[in-house]
Amino acid sequence: MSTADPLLSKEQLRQMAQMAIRISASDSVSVEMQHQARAVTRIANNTILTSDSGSALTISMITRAGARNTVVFRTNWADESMLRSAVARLDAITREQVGGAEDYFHVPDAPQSYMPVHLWHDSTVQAMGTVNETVVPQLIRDLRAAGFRGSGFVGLMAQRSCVMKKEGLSTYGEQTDSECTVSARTPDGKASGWYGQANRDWTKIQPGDIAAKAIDIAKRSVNAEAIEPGRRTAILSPFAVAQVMHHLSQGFDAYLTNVLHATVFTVTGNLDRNNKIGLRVMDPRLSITSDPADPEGGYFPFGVVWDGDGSGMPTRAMTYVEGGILRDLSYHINYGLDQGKPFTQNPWSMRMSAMPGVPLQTMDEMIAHCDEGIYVHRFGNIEQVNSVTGLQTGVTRDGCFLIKHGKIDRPVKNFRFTDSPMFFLNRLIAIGVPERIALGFTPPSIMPTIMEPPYASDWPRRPMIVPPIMVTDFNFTSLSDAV
Amino acid sequence: MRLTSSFPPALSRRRFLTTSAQLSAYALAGVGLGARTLSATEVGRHNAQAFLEDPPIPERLRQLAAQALDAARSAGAQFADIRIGHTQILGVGIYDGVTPDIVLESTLSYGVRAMVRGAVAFEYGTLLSPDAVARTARNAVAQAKGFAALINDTELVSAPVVQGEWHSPMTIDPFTVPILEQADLLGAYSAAVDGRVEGAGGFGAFTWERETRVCATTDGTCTTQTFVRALPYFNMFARWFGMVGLKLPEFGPRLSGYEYVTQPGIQERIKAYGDTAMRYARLRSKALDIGRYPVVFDGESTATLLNSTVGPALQLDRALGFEADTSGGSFLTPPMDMLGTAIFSPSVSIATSRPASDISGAKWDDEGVAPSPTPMPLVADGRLVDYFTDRRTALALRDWYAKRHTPLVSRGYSVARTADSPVLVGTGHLTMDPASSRTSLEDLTRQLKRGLLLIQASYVATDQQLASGFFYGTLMLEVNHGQITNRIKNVALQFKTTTLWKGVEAIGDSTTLGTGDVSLAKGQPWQRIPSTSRAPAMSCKAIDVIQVPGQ
Repeated sequence: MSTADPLLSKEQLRQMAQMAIRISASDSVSVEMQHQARAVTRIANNTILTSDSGSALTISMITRAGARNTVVFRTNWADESMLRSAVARLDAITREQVGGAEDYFHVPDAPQSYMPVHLWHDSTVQAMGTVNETVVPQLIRDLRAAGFRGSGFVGLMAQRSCVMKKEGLSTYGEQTDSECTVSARTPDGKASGWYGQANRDWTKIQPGDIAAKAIDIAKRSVNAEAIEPGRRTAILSPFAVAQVMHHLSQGFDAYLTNVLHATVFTVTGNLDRNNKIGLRVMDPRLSITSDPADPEGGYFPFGVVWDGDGSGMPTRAMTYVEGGILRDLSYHINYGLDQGKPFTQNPWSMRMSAMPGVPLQTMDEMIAHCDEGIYVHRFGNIEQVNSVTGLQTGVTRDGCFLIKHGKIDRPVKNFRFTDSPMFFLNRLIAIGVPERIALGFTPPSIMPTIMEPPYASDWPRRPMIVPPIMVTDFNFTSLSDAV
Repeated sequence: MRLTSSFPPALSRRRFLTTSAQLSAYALAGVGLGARTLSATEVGRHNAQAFLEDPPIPERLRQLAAQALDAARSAGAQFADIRIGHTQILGVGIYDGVTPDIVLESTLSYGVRAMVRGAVAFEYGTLLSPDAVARTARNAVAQAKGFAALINDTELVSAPVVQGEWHSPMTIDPFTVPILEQADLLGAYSAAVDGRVEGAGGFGAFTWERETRVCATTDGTCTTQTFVRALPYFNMFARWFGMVGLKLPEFGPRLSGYEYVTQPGIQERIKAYGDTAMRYARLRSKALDIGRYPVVFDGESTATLLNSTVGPALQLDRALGFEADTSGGSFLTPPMDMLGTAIFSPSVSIATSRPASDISGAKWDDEGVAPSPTPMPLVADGRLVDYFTDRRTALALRDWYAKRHTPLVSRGYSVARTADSPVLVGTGHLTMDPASSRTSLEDLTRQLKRGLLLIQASYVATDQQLASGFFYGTLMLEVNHGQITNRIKNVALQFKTTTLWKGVEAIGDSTTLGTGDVSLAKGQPWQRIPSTSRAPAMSCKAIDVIQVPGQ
């Protein structure tokens, strides 16, 4: 991919959106244009496995006619004649509809105000054309020189989106993102290390450092010994914390909580309340927020087409947990209008941090204060076992060590865990400084009932900003032979 | 059992639209473009075809493919291939037993793989013009040239040049059936179980996916395949002492037309499953002491085990470490050490194929290679004899094939879930041989002095090498002296994969055969790779039971 900007400009997107709005005969029409470019290179066995780049344009048109229902039409056919044909077909569908709309509300389509965010970095776009000549070869050389079998992922993304509605709502966003991860395995495959970084600005990524850390963890993981599973003190790196908290995101959905009684914040059997807002749900030293303007991550300050009628609606900074107390939930547009709550996207991007004044510890300090415990660098294959208890299961991966008398004692064989963040976040010993972390491969749930919108899945995922934590009685339920 | 705590009857219409789309794991995975969400009953009087643009003429797709390949050749590609796909999706659900919810979607995309001096690169796009596809091809070649200094060892095994068209089996095109008629059928299925017994109910949805995909290579291969994928589901539930859910196994994913959901006797089967769910729901549930118990898996649970552990472990790209940074490796590695060794119980034999009606069915894979039309043995009497391969990975088995005097070829399991995704190694339809002697599920259960019976286990959490697993959230029954006595709650089963498969004590006969399907993700950005299997019931001597709270 060349270093030139691979995307349609803001003006080009707006012109196409305006044209679609202009030619539509529907009473109400909104258009969401999204153009995304991606450059991804995967390394395996110290060589390039795949290099995968390109761009995709999505045009989503949503119309309503008076009280009638909403129709969404999406296409990637961008030339004017196709756009005219698509709008005509959409208008025809809208005309076919009658009545209905029994559970729909009139969504504001007038101009809205949005919080300013800064999610775009030219450096990331420029790197799309250069990483395969510079970074990728260097990563491979580093891994070969160390005598390890290396794999990795270098991904860069740029995206521009705009939403326009006939009644005047208009918003635009642009974002870049990048991630680099490296796995290093000993040639015999018996030890593995992993490290990664993610940032909207590629220049903040340090590939050499990533490879060196992955190699170091792999070296230290040689000759791992099996020790008894059971409830043990655990120090979870930010990578491990993010993987667990990612699965908790859906729990903040008000509809799932209040109506479907299906989340960790649901209260059942109580006529006075159907959720835990106002109740303590985790250690009082903890807070969980989600902010489009988060300087270490952030996201578009408006809903996207997945949010249906929430497309283009402003979303705001939210405090979900403060001092361990559940303060709020997220509301999709219809349920929010029903409940008199403003639209908020589910916190697939969240920041977990300590309350002000809470002393923080580095991971080294946590280890120094640990008489006996397990350091977990990362998990693999996490699945939610029960959405109401938040129970999850997964396997430690790419770095698992026994801590004894304040020091890393030795590498240990991987464990399967079965625990819930709602349990172990109430058994907190220490917390560190939150940072945006690389999620690496984080697949969708194998359970078909777990819903993840597109922006929470695939790659890149929305930023997670989390600290390392130290907890007691983390439930390691069995040994795993997997490396 | 597909349900946990999310239950569609309480969903709003809009919410259900998104839910139903997500429930169909195959339908929307990786497909980002071209969706219409309709929600008015009047629209349902028409069929989906009335609202969708005409698919591009296959000849037009082939011309564009040829233009891309010409561009790749001119730019210096040693080899190139392209996949162009046009996909339309129709989803029909009912949220209150009557009112239809409809999803329509249309996607057009392509991806070009180019090889230059042993280096490979891939570019994708969605703008379908001669200039755009040619530019994409040239970009792929330029990228590969850039890599050539760094890597030069990628080889593809040779494959016969093929040209042809294939259409998956279909009698009635679901896109021509009025949408309301489809909703009415779902309503009738729901009515078959709703209210039949107090506390019982049923719900489901139909998802149809029609894709025309062209695959062409600079070797001269050009295949055009049209797949009509039927992705329905229907679940029955019953509440008595707790809730029990069962899925209708007749509605697994497959390549078929509308006739798939109108099979004779479906309503009777739904009624029967509803009654079975109620029978289980009326059993008291109890906790179980942790420990090791003998376990009988019904056919569907065995099939799920196969799909979740053995199938992905036999994908040669996983076994070779291609997925080490992403979905993980395989416990069946290194391949050359594993081939020919006894890895499972001698009573276990597993074969694979891509039959025309299976969801993995195809005449050619995504490299234009025809998979064997007859089942290919993977495990014979407990010994590993082959892997799933594509043109890139097959070379790793050169010595094994030479030893067995077998030609070195790709087995035809290259797969790109969407045309704009890079190819990976997929999984075919797995079949496990049933016992030839009469052994019913009841026979296997009767042999349990004290143990567990698993019914319709639909998912298994595994680890990064598929070396262990964790069954949860499924219907587990306690068996005492051969009799089902209770439902079991708050437990999960943990197992080591090889120990479990080596510990198979008995296998059921053909009457116990069940089907299973999973859709596991691999690659980064990930693609969901669907797989199905058919397997008999089996009993294993000792599996760990652990307690998990709050099920």
